[in-house]
Amino acid sequence: MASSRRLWAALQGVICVHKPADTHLASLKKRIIAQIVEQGNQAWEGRPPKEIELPIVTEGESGAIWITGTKKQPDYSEHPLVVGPMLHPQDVLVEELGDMEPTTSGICLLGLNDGCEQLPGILERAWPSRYRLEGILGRQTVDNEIKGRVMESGQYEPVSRGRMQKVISKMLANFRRLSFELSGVDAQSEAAFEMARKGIPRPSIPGQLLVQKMDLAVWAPPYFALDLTCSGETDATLRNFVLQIGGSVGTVASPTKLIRLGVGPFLPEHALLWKQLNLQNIVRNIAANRKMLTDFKADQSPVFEEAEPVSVVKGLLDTKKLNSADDEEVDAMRPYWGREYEK
Amino acid sequence: MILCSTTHRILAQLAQYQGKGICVRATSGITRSKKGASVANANSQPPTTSSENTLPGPFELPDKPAFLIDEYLRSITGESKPKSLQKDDSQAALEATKKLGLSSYRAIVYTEDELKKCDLSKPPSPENPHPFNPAHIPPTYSRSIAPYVNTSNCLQALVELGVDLFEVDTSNPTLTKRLVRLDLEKDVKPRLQWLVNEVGFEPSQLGEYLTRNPFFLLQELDDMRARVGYLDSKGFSKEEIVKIVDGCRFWVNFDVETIDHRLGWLHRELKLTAPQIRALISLEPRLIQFGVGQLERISKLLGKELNFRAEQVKRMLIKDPRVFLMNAKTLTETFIYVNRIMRLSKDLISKNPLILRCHLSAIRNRHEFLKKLGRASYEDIEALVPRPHEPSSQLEASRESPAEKSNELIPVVEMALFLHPSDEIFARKAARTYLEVYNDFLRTH
Repeated sequence: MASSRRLWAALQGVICVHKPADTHLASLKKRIIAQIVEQGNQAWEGRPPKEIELPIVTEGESGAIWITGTKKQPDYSEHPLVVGPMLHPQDVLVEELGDMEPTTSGICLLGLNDGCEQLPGILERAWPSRYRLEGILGRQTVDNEIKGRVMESGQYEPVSRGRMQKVISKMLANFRRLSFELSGVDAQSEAAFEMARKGIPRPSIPGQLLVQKMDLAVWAPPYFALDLTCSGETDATLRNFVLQIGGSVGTVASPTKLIRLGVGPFLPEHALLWKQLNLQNIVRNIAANRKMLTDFKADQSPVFEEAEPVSVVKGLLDTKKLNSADDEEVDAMRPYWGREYEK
Repeated sequence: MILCSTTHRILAQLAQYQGKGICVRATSGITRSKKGASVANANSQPPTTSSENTLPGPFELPDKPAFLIDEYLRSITGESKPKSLQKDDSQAALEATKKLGLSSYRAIVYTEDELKKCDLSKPPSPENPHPFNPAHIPPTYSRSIAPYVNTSNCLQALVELGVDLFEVDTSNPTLTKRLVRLDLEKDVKPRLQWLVNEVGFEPSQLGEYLTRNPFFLLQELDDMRARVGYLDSKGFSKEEIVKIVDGCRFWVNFDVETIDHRLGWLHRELKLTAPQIRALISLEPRLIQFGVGQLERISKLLGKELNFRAEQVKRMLIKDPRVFLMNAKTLTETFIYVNRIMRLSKDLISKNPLILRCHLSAIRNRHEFLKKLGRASYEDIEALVPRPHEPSSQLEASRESPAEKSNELIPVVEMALFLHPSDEIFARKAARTYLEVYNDFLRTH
C-alpha cells in the first residue's frame, strides 16, 4: 500500500496523452479520472476502523427514556460503503492545455490537479506545435468540418504539384512578414535581419496564428498532406486553412485528417496511449514531464530557434516497452457494453 | 415548592445538561399521554423556587442556542419580545425547524422519584439509569445517510451485506429518506429471504444487487413473486431466472404487463420462437430494459436504412443482442466505415456483429495499419463502388501497396483476429509485425 500522501503528491503535474480520433476530449479526461480513482482507491492506505460507544436506551415506568448502559460497535459513519471511498472523481481535476475536436488526434497535454496551474505558463511560452494536415481538393464541407456534409464540389485536375508548392511558399512568406509586423520590428531594419537569420520572430500577441514551416508531404490528387509547424493555432483555424489553400489554387478543399505530432519538446514517444492509461503509467509520465518542463524553461529569446527539440534520455521514459504486459488488461477494441457475455 | 436535598443534588448534577432538553417538573404537574409517556402540562406553570434552585428552561438544542429559534419567530411575527415554544406555536416551531435546519423534540419529563436513583458520577446501568442525552439522536435533516447508520440496525445490516449506501444515496437522493425508515424484520428480511430461498440468489450476490437495484426493498413482495412466476410460466429454468433477475437489475421492478408486451414484440416483429426468446433473454437480460422503442429503432435502422435482410438482422440479434442496445448514430457511423471503407460485406458483418459495437477509432487504427502494410485483405469484401464524396480512409489508400502491385497472395485476415482484444496478438498474427511497431503507428495517427 502506497503512502497516501506520496501518492497524492505524485498525482500533481502535467501528463502527455495521445488522443485517438473519433474520441471526445471529455471522454479521455473521464477515462483518466476513472483509472486514477479506481486504482488509487486500491492503493490508498485505509484508515483503521474505529469503535464508538452508544447508549442503551430503555423506557422507564413513567414512560420517560433512560440510559441504562453502553454498547460498543464499529463506527459505521466512517465506513467506506457509507461515506464513499477515499478518492472520488470530483477530487481529481484534469484540464486540457488547448481544446481538441473529436476528429483531431495526437498529442494532448493535460494538467492534473495542481498541475493545472502550470498550463497558463506553458501557453505563454507559445511553443510551436507540429501537425499533419490531410485534405482533399475538389470538395468543400459545411464549416470545413472533417466529417461535414459536402456542400460544394469543384474541379481539381488542373492543379499541379508545382502550383501547390508555389501557393505554399507564398503563404509561408506572408506568415513570415506578418510575424515581423506583430513583433513590432521594422522589416527593413538590421534588427529584423538578425532575427531572420536565427528564425521566426516570436509573436508579441500570444494566441496569434503563426506558421513557421509548411511542407507538402504528400501529393496524390485529389489528396494532399501538409506538415505544419505553427503556434497560436486552433483546430478550427487549421481546418479553415485547408479551404484557403484550395481557394488559392483555384478550387475548393476540405480537411480529411488533423493529427498533432508534437507540442514544443513533447514528441509522440512521450505520449501515453489510451490502453496505457493506468495509475502507474500516469505517475511515471508526470515524473518524466516534470523534468522536461524544468529543462525547457521559458525561452526568453524573441525568435523561434531552428533547432529541433532534444529527445529526453530514454531511461526516463517508461512508455515504450517491448513487453508491455499492462496492455493486455485493456480490450483494445473498446466495445460498447462489454465484449463477453456471462455464461 | 420545597425541594428535598436529593433533588438539590440531582439538580446540581443536571446543571451540565442545562440547555440540552432535560426538563424537571413537579409530580403534580404531570399528565400522561395515550402511550403512557409523561408530558408536561402545557398550562401548568413551573414551581417558583429560590434563585439558586432555578429550574432549567425549556428544551434547547445542544449545539444551536435557542435564541436562533426566537430570532426567527420574531422575524416572522414582527414581535419585539422573545417568544418561547409553546403548544400553540407548534406550526411556527415546525417552520423554524425547517428553515434553520434545527431539530426539536418533545421535552423529556423526569419525576423526582426517578431522579433519586440517578448517580451521574457512576457509569449508567439498569440500577443507575442516566437521563437521556439528546446528543445521541441523529439529526432530523441531513444531506447524507451517514448520521443515521450508527443508530439503525437495518442500515447496518445492509452495510454488512455489502450494499454501497454511498452509491445508492448519491445516485438516488430521494430514495434515502425511504431507506432510513425501513424496518429490518418487517421490510428487509422477508424480501432477502425470498431472493435467496425461492429465487436462488447466493448471499454473496445480495450486496452488489441491492446497490444496483435499491428499489427492490420498496417493492411489494407479492408483485415480485408474480413477476418471477411469469418467467417460470414461460419455461425459464431456475438458473436462467437468477441470471435474468441479476443481469437486468430492474427486472423485478417492472410489472408483468410491461415485460409481456416487450417479449411479445420480439416474438411478433422479429419472428422469434419461444426457445429463441428464452435463449436471447437469458444471454442478455438487459435487452428489453429500454423498452420497445429502442428495439424498434435499431431494428428499422438495420433493416430499412442500412439494408440488412431480415434473416441477417435476426442472426445479429441472436448472436450479439447488445447491438440492439447501441446508440443509433454511433452504429450508423461504424457501419458506414466498416461497409464502405473497409468494404466488408453485410453477410460478413451479420456473422461478426461485434464489429459494429467496437469503437470506431480502434477499427480505423487497425484497418489503416493493415492497409499501410498491404495486408488489409478480409474474408468477404464487397466490390468497390466509387462514391464521389467519400474519400479513402487516408492518403495511402489511394496508392496501391507494394504487395498488390506485385500480385502477391495477401493472406486473409480473419475477423476473429481483427477483433482480438489484444493488440499484441493482432500485431503478431494479423499484421505479422511487432507490437512496438503498431504502438508507434498509433502514436502518429
